[in-house]
Order: sequence, then C-alpha cells, then structure tokens
Amino acid sequence: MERAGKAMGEWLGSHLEWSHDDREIATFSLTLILSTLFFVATLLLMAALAGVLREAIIMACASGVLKAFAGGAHFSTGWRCGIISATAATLAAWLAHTFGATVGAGLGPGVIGLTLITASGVSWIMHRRAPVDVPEKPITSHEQRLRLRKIATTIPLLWCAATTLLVATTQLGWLAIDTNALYAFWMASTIGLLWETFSVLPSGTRFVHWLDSRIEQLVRGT
Amino acid sequence: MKRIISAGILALLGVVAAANVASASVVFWYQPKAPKALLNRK
Repeated sequence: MERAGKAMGEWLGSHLEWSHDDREIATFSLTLILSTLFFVATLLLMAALAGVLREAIIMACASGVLKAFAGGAHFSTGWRCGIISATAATLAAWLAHTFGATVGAGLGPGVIGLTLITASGVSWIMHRRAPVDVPEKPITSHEQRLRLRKIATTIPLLWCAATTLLVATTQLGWLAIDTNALYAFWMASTIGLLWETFSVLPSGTRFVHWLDSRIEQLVRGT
Repeated sequence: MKRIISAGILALLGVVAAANVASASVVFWYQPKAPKALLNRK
C-alpha cells in the first residue's frame, strides 16, 4: 500500500513536473486514501457477510471520530491495520448485534447509568492521555495539542447526551424506535469508544505493538 | 491546461494530507510517515 502510494505519487509528479516536496505530500495523501479505502472496503465486505453491517458502521464511526482527535497506537503497515481493524470491528459488531438487545433489555434504565459511567471514564482518560502522537506524525504545536485534547474530551460527553436522550425517550415510549436495534447500536458505539480508549492507554499501545510484531513474525515465517 | 489540472490535483491531495496532519490520526490504526515538508508548514 505504501509502495503503491509512492509509485502513484512519483508517476503523477513526473508527469505534472512537481517539486520533491509536492511529490512527498502527494505520496503521503495517496497512501492515506488507499489505506482508508482498503479498510472501509474490507470492513463493509466482512460486516455484510456477517450480517452486521449497521452495527459495524456505527462502531467504526464512534471509534474513528474519537481516534481522529485522540490518536493512539498504530500498526506499522496499511495492510495489517486494515485487516486487523476490520476483523476486530466485525467481531465487535457481531457481539453488539447478538447480545446488545438482551443486555439492553436486562439493564433497562441501567443502560443510561452505564452510558454515563462509560462517558465519564472515557472523557477522563481522554483528558489525561489524549492526544497520543506517534513518531510518524508528531504533534509539534502546544495549541494543537490542547485543541485536540479538548475535542477528544468533549466527544464522549456529546455521545452520552445523544444516547441518553435517545434511550430515555424510547424507554418512556415517546419515541417509536425498535428497541432491539437501539440497544445493538448503543452497545456497538460503546465498544467503539472503549476500543479507542484502550488504544490511547500505555497497555493498549503495548498490546498493539506486541500484536504487530507477532504478525510480522508470522508473515516472515520466523 | 496542464498547469491547472496539476494545481487542482495537488490542492485536493494537499487538503487530505493537511487534514491528517491537523488531526491526531484519521486512518484508524494506521499512520504513514508524514512528510517534513508538510510538518514544517505549520
């Protein structure tokens, strides 16, 4: 994927007579586009085959929006990241699809309590840890760091407000929504936020690096 | 004409690249190495 991005960037650069800096920026951008397309296509395919497309999209959006501002652990190649992220997201979506309704119905009003606890915990961790930058793209400005932290801390609170409103109005019968689907979506977005929170913690970073090195060994057959 | 197309493509790719540099990460669990040319612009 990185090689494809570089080849495309160099090809465009040579035909359009770009400078070295412009070629580097184009290569970076094309690698981002290719890796995103690969991840999205893999996720959609796997989730559709598993019959959990809606939950997977909600989970990936919850996790992805927070990751845009919080950063966190990364895999070392686009292929690895795309396949592992899509597999994990599909598994989590399947869990939400299968158990979300039962858990939600069992908890009843406790869904709102659990949402409040989750949002408070995630928000506090984001306030303490986010943004987590990586050597590939260091955050160089203090203002940018503060801005990203502020947004990463606010996102779980906004999620909490929207979820609480939706669940409360549905449970009170003011809103006619399929509760099974609602609880599945609630669980999917909760897993998404917790997944991203794990990736900004030191243990999450260590886990991702460990997984990355194990896959590297597997691929190289060592 | 070629110059206009070239500038258009570069501007589109530049927006994607700049959006990534302005965020903490936008490609889930993968972050390619950001070019110095872009980091130095900030």
